[in-house]
This record gives sequence, structure tokens and C-alpha cells, in this order.
Amino acid sequence: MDHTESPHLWRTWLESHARRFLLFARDQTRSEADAQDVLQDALVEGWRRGGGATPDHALVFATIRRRAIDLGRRNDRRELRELAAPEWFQAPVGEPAQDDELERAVKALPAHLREVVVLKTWSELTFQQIADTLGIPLNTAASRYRYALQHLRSALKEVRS
Amino acid sequence: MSDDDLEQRLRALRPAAPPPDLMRDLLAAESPAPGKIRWLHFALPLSAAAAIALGFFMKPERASKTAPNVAASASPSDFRVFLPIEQTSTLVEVREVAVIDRAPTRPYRLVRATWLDDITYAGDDGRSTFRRQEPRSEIIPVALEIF
Repeated sequence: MDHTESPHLWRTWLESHARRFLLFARDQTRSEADAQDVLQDALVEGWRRGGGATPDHALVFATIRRRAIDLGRRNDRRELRELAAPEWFQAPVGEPAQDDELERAVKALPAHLREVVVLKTWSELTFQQIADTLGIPLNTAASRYRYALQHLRSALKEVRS
Repeated sequence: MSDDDLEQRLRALRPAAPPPDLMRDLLAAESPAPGKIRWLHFALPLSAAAAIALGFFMKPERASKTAPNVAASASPSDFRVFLPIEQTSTLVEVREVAVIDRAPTRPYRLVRATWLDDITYAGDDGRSTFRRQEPRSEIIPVALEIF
């Protein structure tokens, strides 16, 4: 599929995937600016490597991760983490408010568990694709997901108790 | 809470949409289709260079005034670099030109060899390519066999 010949298809593809890509980019970077830079770079790289076709979305997630790691190595911006980071989740207009309690629990997860939850839940990758994206064994991806659910369950219990 | 309940709650969270300005940038960041030559990008700097050269040779006394104006109209972002990535040369003709006899050294022939060069260039965007075919002739000395 060539998006220069089918701009409508390209726009549709982007609109259906961009929020998932951005969520993962936010998870992998330390600031909103970095997340947006990494996302743009990853998409452009995906287009080029795909010869102008819309790239495979698993490949985009892997590229986002690689570029985020590169960025983190080049420039340690930990101290620049934005105090008022944008909301990762957003309730559609007219629907009930977002589950803030759960959102805080997700954000509080250790990074190595959170990235698996993000890829499994909102990126809809298989454990094999997650393992490929993160460069970890398949069993590790699955076990991290289980640990993440345990963490979340404990965090939600603490809030209620 | 079971895993299923928790996963259902997780899935109910909707990732936030990208900010409009980011979405606009992403949509605008399209690059050309593979194999298509961005002739406009390629032709503009060549035209500018030709105009500079023409101005320089035709009106030497005004060259210093003309060239900067033309150059200023082409910003660095307009320029593209294409590098050869593949070349095949086909020998199409060999013609005798002369025999040189320089005693006491061994005589040698001069032959004119003509090739057809077929060169493929790739643009610095990693996708644009174009081919150029051009004949090339060289006069080559060849040792003359004497029996």
C-alpha cells in the first residue's frame, strides 16, 4: 500500500494507530517532547524501510523502543522529566470519566512491567511480538505480564483499604 | 478481582489521542513513493546552478551581482544528494584507431572502446532513485602481437 497514492488509506492507518504508538512512546521516554520526537522518527523510518507502504505496527513499536534507548543514551534527560506530563489516557467525549485510580496504578508500575502491559493491552501485540519488540524471551514477557497484573491488583487494594 | 476483570478494566482505558499539532506533523511527514524521482527537487538546484554558470560566463562583469541573488533563492533544504549505488558497463564497440611503432620498444595498437554505462543513483532520503545511461569512449593502448 503506497500512502502517497492513497492518502486516505494512510490517514486512516495513522488515525487508528497513532494513539497506541504515542502511548508506548510516552512509556519509553522521559518527556513529552522526547515521546513525540521518537514517534515521528520511528514512523518516518518505518515508511522508508517499508518502501513507502504503511509499516507493520509491531515493527513500529520495536523502532520506537530502539530510538528511545538511543535517545536516552545520547542525552540523559532524567532531570528534565516534565512535572505536568500529559494524560496517557482519555475518555471519549460523552463516555464515563477515566479510571484515574487504575491509570495511576499503571503509571506507578516498574518500567519493565509497565511496558509489557502497554504492549499487551493497548498495542494488542502477542507475547511473541512483545518478546521480539523488547528483546526478551517469550516466557519472560508472559511472566512480566502476570507480575504486572499482581502489582496492579495490590495497588488497587491499597487504595481501597 | 480476577485477572479477567482487571484486564477488562485495563482495556476500558483509552489511550489519549495525539495532540493536533503532532498529528498534523505526522500526516505532513510523508515522503515520496519508492522509485519516483523527485524531479522538482532535483531540477531546481540544477537550474539554479546552471543560471549561476550562465551568468558567470555570459556576463562576467555582472557575475558577482547575479550569482548571490540566484543562490539565495535556493535554500539548503531544496538540495538533494544522489549517489551511485549500482553500475553496469556494457562494451558495445571496439574500433582500431592506429598502430604506434616506437622503436626500439614494442609497437602497440590504439583502440577506441565504447561502453554504455547504466548507473542507478539513490537519493539521500533512502528511497528516491533514478537511472542514467550514457555512452563512454576511451582510447586504450594494446600491445601488438608480432609473430
